[in-house]
Amino acid sequence: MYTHATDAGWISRSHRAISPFRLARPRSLEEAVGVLSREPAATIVAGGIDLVRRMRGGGSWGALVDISSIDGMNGIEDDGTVVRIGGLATHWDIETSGLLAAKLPDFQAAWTTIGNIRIRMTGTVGGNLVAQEPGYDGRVVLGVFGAELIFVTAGGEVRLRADDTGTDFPKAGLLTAIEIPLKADRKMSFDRSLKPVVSVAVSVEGERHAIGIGCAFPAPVFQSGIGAIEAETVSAALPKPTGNPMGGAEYRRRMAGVLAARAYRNLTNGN
Amino acid sequence: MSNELVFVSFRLNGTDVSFHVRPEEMLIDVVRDRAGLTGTKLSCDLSTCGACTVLVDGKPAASCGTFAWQADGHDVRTIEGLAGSDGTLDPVQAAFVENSAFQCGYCTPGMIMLARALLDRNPSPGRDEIRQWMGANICRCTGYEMIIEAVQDAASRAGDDK
Repeated sequence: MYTHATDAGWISRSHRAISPFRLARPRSLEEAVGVLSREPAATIVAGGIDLVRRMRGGGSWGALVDISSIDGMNGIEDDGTVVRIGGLATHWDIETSGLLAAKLPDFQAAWTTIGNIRIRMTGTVGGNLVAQEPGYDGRVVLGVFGAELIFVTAGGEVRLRADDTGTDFPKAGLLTAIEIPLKADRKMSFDRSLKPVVSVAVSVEGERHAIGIGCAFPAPVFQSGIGAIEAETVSAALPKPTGNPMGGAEYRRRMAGVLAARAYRNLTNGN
Repeated sequence: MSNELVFVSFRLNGTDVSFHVRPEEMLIDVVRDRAGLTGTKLSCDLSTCGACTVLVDGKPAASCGTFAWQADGHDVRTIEGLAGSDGTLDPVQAAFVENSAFQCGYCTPGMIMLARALLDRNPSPGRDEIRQWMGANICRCTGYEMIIEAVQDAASRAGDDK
């Protein structure tokens, strides 16, 4: 961890643990991608919620690329088949979007449970996703919607399914948008009542279901299938969950199945 | 590579201010140490407790988790900017005083700024909305009940003024 001396004592200085860095403030997407390509020690900052926490924990980057001033990256729009959310849209933008209230109300309701009001007003969708924190639920929710994450790199656009946690995000890529397919008969439920032990998202589309499980693994785990969700089946198919004082591995495994089955029952009973 | 100064200019409680800051310098340091406005308090240093809450373009933000350069071009309000020029307290401040919504008082500036942001958006919030909103900040003394009552009181005062 980087520290430096201050004259006034620890309580009056809040930046003592943040390592020095160079600040780049590109005005265009192309410029931002160029900086990221040239500087392997650079990282992106927008709202800064997650990054500042990491830096206070000892994380160090040679440069921060502030993308908050890039135009056109915070919109929420639809073309009739997908809703496209810009990577710089804040959680508050999602919470208050009339378009999402009309087109994806269950997604909007789920996203509104993320963070507190200070975080929701400043933190961005892109920040939540690229942080890849086990306790962050954005990807859990997007995964059961079949959403795609869209990156721009120096080599062009790269698309990655939100539920494809086995593929790394592109190096030096900038997450510009998320696309969520619109499906008339899809319903979704998100349960984070046991967070930070486990969080579960379930979507049902006709006979098909998709399950996303967060908090219990280094990255979200997804399952899909046909017909009813049985708790024991879900639990048995999971890899070994994280075990720590917040929740044991077998408890997380069991409750992931219980919450998934409960969400399925609620969705299919119309509750 | 590092320690290049960044020029920032923003409105602070209605006054235009400018500073050269290091990239890693936080907004709370500029507000407290450079501008001398020590009403904003540093506590957890992790953007968690909300004692350092200020309003940036009317939105509550943890100033300990906001780089100073992120305020560039924006409007920043601190607790010192709430009272009128004649010393008349903002309705939220008055309600906190009259409802004894504090004990040690360390979290109070942040609580008041958070409440101000809520009432600026919704002048008549319900109790559940107040509880949800104010849950972003932490108070280790009061148990929150008096804080919630103070926000309700402030909302009713604003309504009486209309």
